[in-house]
Amino acid sequence: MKRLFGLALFAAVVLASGVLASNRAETRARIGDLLKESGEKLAAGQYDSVLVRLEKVREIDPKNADAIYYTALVYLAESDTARARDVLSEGLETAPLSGRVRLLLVRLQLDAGDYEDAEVSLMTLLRFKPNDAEALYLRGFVGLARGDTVAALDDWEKALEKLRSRRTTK
Amino acid sequence: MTTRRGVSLVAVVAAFVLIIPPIPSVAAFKYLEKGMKAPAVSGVDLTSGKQVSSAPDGEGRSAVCVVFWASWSPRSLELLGDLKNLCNRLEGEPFQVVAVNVDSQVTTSLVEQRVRKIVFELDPPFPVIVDDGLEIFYEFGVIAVPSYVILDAEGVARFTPSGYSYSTRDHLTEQVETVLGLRESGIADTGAVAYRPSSEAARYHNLAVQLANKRLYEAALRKVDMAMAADTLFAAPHALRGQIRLELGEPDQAVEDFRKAVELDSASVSARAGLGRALLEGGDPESARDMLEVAVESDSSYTEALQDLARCLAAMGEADRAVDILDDAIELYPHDPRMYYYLGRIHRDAGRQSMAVEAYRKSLAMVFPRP
Repeated sequence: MKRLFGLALFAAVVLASGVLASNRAETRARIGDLLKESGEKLAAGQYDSVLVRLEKVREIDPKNADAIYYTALVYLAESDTARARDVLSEGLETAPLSGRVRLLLVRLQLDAGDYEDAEVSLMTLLRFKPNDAEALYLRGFVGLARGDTVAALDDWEKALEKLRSRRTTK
Repeated sequence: MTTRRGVSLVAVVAAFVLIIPPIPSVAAFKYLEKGMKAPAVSGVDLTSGKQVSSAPDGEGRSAVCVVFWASWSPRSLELLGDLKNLCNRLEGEPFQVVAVNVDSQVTTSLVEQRVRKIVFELDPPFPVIVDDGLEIFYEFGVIAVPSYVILDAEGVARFTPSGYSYSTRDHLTEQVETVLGLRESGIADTGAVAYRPSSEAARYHNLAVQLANKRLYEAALRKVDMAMAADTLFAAPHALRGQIRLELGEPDQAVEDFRKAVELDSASVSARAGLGRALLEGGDPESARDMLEVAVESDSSYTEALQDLARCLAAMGEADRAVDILDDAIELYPHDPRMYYYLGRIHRDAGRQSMAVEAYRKSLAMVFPRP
């Protein structure tokens, strides 16, 4: 009896995993389709349509960094920088490891002259990606704003060296 | 003529032939030389939306001109205009042009708009494709923009001039008509007779180039070995192995490879330039400079050689001359971030911080454009 129960439980688990895996794959495909459509609509300037699709993505996956990023791009295309910054800041609370979202936020912070905020954002990113070339590039602007040309040049040189470095795994 | 005078004359002529090296021909592509089968170029035509290809298709094309161009290059637009006129003049002949746009690594909507505008205004009677990701660009190893190659019915490169100067312009029609068989080869057929490698060797070499461009270096080296084994007189695989060794940080071995390439094909500018770079990376800027000066003298539009020559001069303490050379290179190819990187390094080492800042900023802004 116990053995039968065990077997039944095992079968149920296997079945459930199969169903879950299949559901996950479908979800990923759906998100992929929505993001692809968003990209096409964004290129065509159909911003309302983009936002509808991105909203759907975020309903399915609230932490989806691409949806956060593209939503911000839409607001930037509509010259609503403040809203773009809000989207990115809020988005980082759910997707703190998204480099792309963070770097776009940094650009907006730099544009606004918020160098301290930009530096904090960059330090967070550089903590888990110490040689991120784009982060180093943007940090260079913080150095320049402070009048520290040497620090800026160091960051930019490091960024360029990183990009130049093409040693690869065989 | 007395015997002594005759001997003297012979000695002079012999000295001239043996001591003075042949003038290397110009180089348009790192991985394609005259006599080699070119990689097939394919893509979607911007105007018609149809798939097009430069590969021999059995439809009777006798000559195909593949041209690499960019919207930011005034000479590109001249070349496209001249090709349009040539196509119209040769209407009915089995001649086709495939124009490959190489504006930038990433085809943003802005780039696409710019390219479409040019194509709309030009209204060319030939397909235009966009090389998104610059895959075709890297496969050919394009050195200067614009550049073109004229292929025969078998897809073999017959003419590979570099850039589009006034003299190249004069020869364009002659070159196409020569391949079409409408005229005998003559003035247009400049340079030494091309070595035609075995088809097996060329195939392995082309595969090696594709693998190297994907940074699969170990696999690429295997194909290079196979190309060399298939044709021991084929210089290009040696040069390719040199480039791979440089990527892997092995300049001394790269020097050996490039020396061999130059030995097999003394007319190859790209092999000489590669040797120059390998010598520079190996810590011998003086020898590198000598080699690169020869390369640049025969092809002043070879931007990589100009860039490396500038690095040599900077290493030897001639910063101002290095900057002049880099400025020339940037004028030829203003969208290469590496040029600005080296410019920045030279300025920084010379204590010119603000100019270094400007150069680095330009370089990085190209790599990380605003979204």
